[in-house]
Amino acid sequence: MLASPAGGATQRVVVGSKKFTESYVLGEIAKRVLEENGIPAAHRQGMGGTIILWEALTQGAITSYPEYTGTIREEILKTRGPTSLERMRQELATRGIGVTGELGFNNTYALVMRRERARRLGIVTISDLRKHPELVVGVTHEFLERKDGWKPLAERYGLKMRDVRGIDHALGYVALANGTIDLKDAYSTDAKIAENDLVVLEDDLGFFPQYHAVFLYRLDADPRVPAALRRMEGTLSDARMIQLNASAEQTKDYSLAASLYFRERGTQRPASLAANIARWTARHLLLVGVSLLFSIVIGIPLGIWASRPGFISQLILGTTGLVQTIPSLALLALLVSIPALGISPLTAIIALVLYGLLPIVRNTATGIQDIAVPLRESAAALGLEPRAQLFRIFLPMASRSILGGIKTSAVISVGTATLAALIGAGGLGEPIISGLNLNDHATILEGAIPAAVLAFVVQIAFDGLDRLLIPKGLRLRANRG
Amino acid sequence: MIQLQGVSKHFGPVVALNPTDLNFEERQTTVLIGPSGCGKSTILRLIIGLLEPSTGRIRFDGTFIAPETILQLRRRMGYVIQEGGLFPHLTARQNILLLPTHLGRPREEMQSRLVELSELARLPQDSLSRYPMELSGGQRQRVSLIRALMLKPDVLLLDEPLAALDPMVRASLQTELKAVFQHLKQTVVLVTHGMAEAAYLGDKIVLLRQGSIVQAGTFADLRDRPVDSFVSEFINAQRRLVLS
Repeated sequence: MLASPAGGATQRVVVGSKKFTESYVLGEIAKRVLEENGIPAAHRQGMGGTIILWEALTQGAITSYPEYTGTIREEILKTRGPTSLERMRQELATRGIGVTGELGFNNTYALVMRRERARRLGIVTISDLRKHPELVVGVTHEFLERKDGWKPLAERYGLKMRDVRGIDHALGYVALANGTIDLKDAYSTDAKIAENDLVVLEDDLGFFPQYHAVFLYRLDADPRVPAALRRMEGTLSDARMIQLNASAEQTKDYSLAASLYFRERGTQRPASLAANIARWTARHLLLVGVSLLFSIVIGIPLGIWASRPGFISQLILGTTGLVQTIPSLALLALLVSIPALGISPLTAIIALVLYGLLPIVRNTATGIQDIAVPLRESAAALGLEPRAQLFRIFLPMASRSILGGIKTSAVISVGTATLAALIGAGGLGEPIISGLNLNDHATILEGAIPAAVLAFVVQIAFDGLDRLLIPKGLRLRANRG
Repeated sequence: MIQLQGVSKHFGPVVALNPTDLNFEERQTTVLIGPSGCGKSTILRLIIGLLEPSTGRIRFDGTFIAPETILQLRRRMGYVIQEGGLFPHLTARQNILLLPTHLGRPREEMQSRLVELSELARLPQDSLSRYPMELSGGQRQRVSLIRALMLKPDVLLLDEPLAALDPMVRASLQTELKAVFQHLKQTVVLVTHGMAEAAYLGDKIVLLRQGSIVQAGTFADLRDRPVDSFVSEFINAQRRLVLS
C-alpha cells in the first residue's frame, strides 16, 4: 500500500499521523469520522515527522494527515510572516493538496503556571508577569534559544525576570509542581497541563505564532473524504484536546481517546486491565503456539538427520547454534530488512521459529545418539526396517530428551515473543514496550508479570506432559537385576 | 545352513578375522570359542549383517547375505546378546511381540507361541507385563531368548548370552538352553569364552585365536586330539580353574 502510485479515487483511504500523542489521536478520530461516513479507512500511526508525512501525502502513500498552520507556513511553504489560511489553501492547491478549516484548538507554545499560584498573584495574561520579576523561570533549552522563544518574548512583553534557567521538559513539570520554578514553557494542548492542574497564561499581545490544527488531504481523493474531514472543523477546543491527549497518555489507547471525541453519540467502554491482559496473553500464546509448532515440525526431522554422524550433522547443529547466538533483537531487525517480510506478525513468527529450533534439534540429535550401541544393534538385528527402528525404538527412547528440548524452546519463546510487539505483532510485549518508551513501570509490569507467569505455567504444563508422553519404562529407576 | 566362504574382516590395519571358510550345520549347536579378540563375535556379527565382510561371502540357506537381502534374512535369525538388548520403553511382552506385530503375524498364533516359549524358558507369566528395568538379569535373558525364538528362526545366534549372570543363574539357564535347543531341534551358533559351557552345549566346537580357526570338532576331538599346544592349553587352563 505504501508503494502504490498517487491518485485514484477507488484507492483505500489511508490517514497518517506524526509521532506524538496528539497526532495519533487526531489520526484515529479522522479514521473513525471517515468510516462513519461510509469510507473505509486505515490509520498508519506515528510515521515520523513533518517531512516524512508531507512526502507520503504528496506521493500518494497516504490520503490525509493532521497538520498545524504554523508548520504549514514555516516548514512546508516556507513563507515568512503571518499568512492567512486562504492564502495557504491557494498555495497548497498548486501542489495538489487541500486543507480543511481549523479544527478549533491552537497547539502553540505557551507559558504555564500552577493554577493556585497564578490566582494568588492575580496573573491571567503574560503582560501580568511584568509586575513579578521575582518569579523563577525554567524553560527548555530549545525555548531559551528559539526565535519565537524566551528572549524575544521577554523583550516584546518587557519582562525582567532575574532567574531564568534551562531545564529538561519533563523535569520542568516536576520542578513546577514542587515549586522550584514558577513559570515554564509548554505546548498549549499538552496533557500535562490538565494533569498537573496548571494554567496557560493568555498571550495578550499575540506573540506566539498560531499553530491551529487542520487536516491536509490529496485533492484527487474521493470527494467524500474532504467532506467528511470538514465535519471536524471547529469541534475541538483547547480544553477538549488537552482532555483527549491526557486520556490517550493515561490509557495508552489512542482509539479509546478518539472514542471520547464521539462520546455524545455513545462510545465503547474502555477495556479493563483484565480484558487487556487477557487479549495480550491470548495473542502471546498464539504467537508462541504457532511458532513452537513449526519449530517442532522442522526441528525434529532436522534433529534426526543431525543424529547421524558426518558433515551434515555438523552443518545442521552449527547453523542452528549460530542462529541462537544472534541477539533476538538483531535477528528481528535482520528479518524486517527482508522486503518480503517487513513489519508483520509473520516476521515475528519466523524469528521465534528460528530461535526455538536449536534446543529441539540438539536434544533430538543427542537423544538418539545417546541410545546405547547394543540397543541400536538389537533394533537392526531384530529385522526392523530403518523407518520402524526410528519410530518404534529410537524416537520413543529419545522422547525424554526431545520433550526437554521442546520445553526449553517453549520457555525461550514465551520470553522472546515479548519482542514481537516491536514490529506490531502484539502480545505481552505491547505494554512492556509502551512502558519502556514512557518510562512507566506500572505499564511494564502489566506485560512483564503475565509473561513471567506464562513461562512458569508452560514449564509446569510440560512437566505434566512428560508423564503423559514419556514411556513408563523409561521413567523407572529401580533395577533389581 | 550357513557357509562362510573366504570371509575376512579388518578395521583399518587391525585384522579381526583372517580369510575363513566355515559351515554351520542344521539342527546342530556350533560353539565359537577362544580368548578375547579371537574373532568369535565378529563371525556372529557378520552373519546378522551388523558388519560387512572385507573379503569373501556368506551364504544363508542358499542366499548370499547382502544389503538387499539382509532385512528378510534377519527375520529368519534370532539374536541374543550379553545384556539381552531389550528395549527399555517396552514391557517384556511388547519386546517379544514387537516384530511379530510389526509384520502383522496372527495374534492368537503368537499368543500361544509366547505361552509355549515362556514355559520352555521357565519365565513366570507375571514378568511379561514388567519393564526390563523391573526384571532380574536372568529374566531379561529369558525374555530376550523368547523374543529371538518367536518367529521360529532358522538359526539362533547367541553372543555370550550368559556371561553377565551370576554362576547359579548361569548354571540353571545352561540346562534350560540345552532343553530348548533339543526340544525345538534348533540350529544354534553360540559364542562363549567358557569351555565347560561349550562342552555342555556344543555339538561342534570351533576354537579361534587371533582371527583364525585353530581347530574345529567335537569336544572329544579337541581334548583328545589337539592340533597344537594352544588347544590343550586352552582346555586345560579352564579345567584347572574349575578344579582349583
